[in-house]
Amino acid sequence: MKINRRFLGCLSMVVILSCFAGQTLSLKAASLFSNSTTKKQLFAVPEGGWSSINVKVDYIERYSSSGNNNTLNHRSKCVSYARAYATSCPTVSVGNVAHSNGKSFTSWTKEAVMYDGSVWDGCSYWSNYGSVTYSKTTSVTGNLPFILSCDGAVPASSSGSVQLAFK
Amino acid sequence: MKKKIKILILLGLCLVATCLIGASVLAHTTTSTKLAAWGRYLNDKNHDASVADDIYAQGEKTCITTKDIEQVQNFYMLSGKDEKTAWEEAVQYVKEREALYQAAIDNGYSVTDQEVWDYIDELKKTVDSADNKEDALAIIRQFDSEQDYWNYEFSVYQKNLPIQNYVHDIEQTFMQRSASSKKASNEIESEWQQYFEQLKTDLINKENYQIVNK
Repeated sequence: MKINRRFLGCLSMVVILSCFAGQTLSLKAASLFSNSTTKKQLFAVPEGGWSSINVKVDYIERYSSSGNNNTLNHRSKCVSYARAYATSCPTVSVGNVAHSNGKSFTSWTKEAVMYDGSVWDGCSYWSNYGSVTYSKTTSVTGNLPFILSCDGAVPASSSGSVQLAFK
Repeated sequence: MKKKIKILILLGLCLVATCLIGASVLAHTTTSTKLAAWGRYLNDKNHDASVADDIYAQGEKTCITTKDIEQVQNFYMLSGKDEKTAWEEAVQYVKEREALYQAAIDNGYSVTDQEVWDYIDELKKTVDSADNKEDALAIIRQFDSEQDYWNYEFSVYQKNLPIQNYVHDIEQTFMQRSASSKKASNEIESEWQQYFEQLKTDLINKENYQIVNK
């Protein structure tokens, strides 16, 4: 009798565990378009040496899909930099995201970011939560411009950008 | 008529595109031309032992020379500034560099010759992998040889490397202190720029340079 109860208890446990094992967790991966670029710029300075800045700029557009459309509802821009200078400090300035249909995003919130301090001297990350909807086959693209500059150096500045296609 | 209008529009677009491309090429050519002239000046000066090294102004611990000021003045004039403005800004720049160097040495940032050569090796890699490597080559090509150029850079970085190390540590301390604030990154960067300018001003004031040779 006891053995039968124990057997039934174990069998029940096996059945219960099997029911849970049979479940699959449904994880909805975030959909995103992303691209990045790096730029290493030298600036000649008056004492005969160089100031330099090395940057990595990331541009991400997150979206949700519905039917034949994607709704882009969260975009981020991130810049990491490393610089070397004595008297003339080089800087990087990241602009606003603009879509090729004329839509631009000018309100950004700074967010916390972790970065590899052995590679980069600093890193900044911003997000914008404006929403736009495009067809999945849209030809609209996104552009994130940036400028590297060094006051009193030659060249005085150099520009770059990160492009994104939304299909 | 419609065909003629289409042709005119097409010609107009071609003209605009040519102007834009031309402007971009011209800007790069102008930079290369400036840097080639700068390279020729540095090479000539580097080989001219007859250039006098008169002291222009004496500070508490360091001095600035007419030779150094004239070099910076030349750089600014190549960038388009007039002679008078270039001289005034050159005096300020050389004061800043000398004061920063003295502060670096006072704070224990002196370097050995080997450390400078090691840095030159890293600088060669930086130049080689830079997006505007051609700007550096425009200068290097003006020297009698590439080694001649790097030998010259050694003399520049004997002073610049201590300054770079000193300034880098100050910047990192400043940025770490600012990281916990809720300020926007561009605001923190702007504050660093102001802090750095004020540091240079304070160091110059500490040297209390007196002009000895007008």
